Amino acid sequence: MLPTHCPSCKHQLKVKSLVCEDCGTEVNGSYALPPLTLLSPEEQDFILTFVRKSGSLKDMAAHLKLSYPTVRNMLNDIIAKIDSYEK
Amino acid sequence: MKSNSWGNLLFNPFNRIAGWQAFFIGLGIVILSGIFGGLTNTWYTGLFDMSTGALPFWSGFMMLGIDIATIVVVMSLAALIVAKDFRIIDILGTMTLARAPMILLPLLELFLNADSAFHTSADPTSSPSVIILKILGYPIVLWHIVLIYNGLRTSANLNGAKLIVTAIITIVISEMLSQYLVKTAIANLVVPYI
Repeated sequence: MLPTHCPSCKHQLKVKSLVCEDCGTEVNGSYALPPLTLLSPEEQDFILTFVRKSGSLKDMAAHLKLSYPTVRNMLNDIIAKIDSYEK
Repeated sequence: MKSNSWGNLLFNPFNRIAGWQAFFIGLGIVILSGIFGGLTNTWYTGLFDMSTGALPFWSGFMMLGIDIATIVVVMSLAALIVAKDFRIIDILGTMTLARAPMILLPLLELFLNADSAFHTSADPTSSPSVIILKILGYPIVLWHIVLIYNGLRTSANLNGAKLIVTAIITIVISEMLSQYLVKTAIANLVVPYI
């Protein structure tokens, strides 16, 4: 799992370096993590499944064996979280 | 998994069942409640109320209809104000299924026959059957309230203080309104035909 917060001060981390595994080139800078990476593994899994189910909450509910409003609430909570990251 | 536990099934089934599915299961239980109530002369004279006495069999279904319609309308109006995303069918389904524990009240009356104390005893409230019915009745009503609370949380995606305040206000209004409407309906639609 990608670390997203500083283990020392809990502040949100930034990407300092990216490397090409083929030629070894390193790109350095200070890049913000995409909002999706800041979500928990369960939430990321939810979004992946949601995309695979073509964005159908009904199919998601059947897949997760949960009620429609429960799945809709999970999605609404993730949307609220992403909105808060982007602010 | 936590949501599979008996506690969740009994107190928050709405994680798994909502909408039309909850409505039809709840409707089946409500119809049985009406039948048991009619057979035992036990009447739901408000959202959380129970009375005994001789009334026409069909009047129990009328009272149940009023009780459910009242809480669905009050909850839907509250959700319109405080929730940003909800479906009326989820409120209808969860509130109908939330009434399931109330089926136990006429069944208790069947075994305790508390109504007879009102005809035979000078002080029916001190009768053992009435006292036992009250002691066992309060946890059933509390169970109903917990289900209403969880139904509102799932249907309207409310949390924290907003959920608690909305639940308390809607439950109190629904209880008072349902009592008034049932009383009015009995006086105007039932009593003239007895």
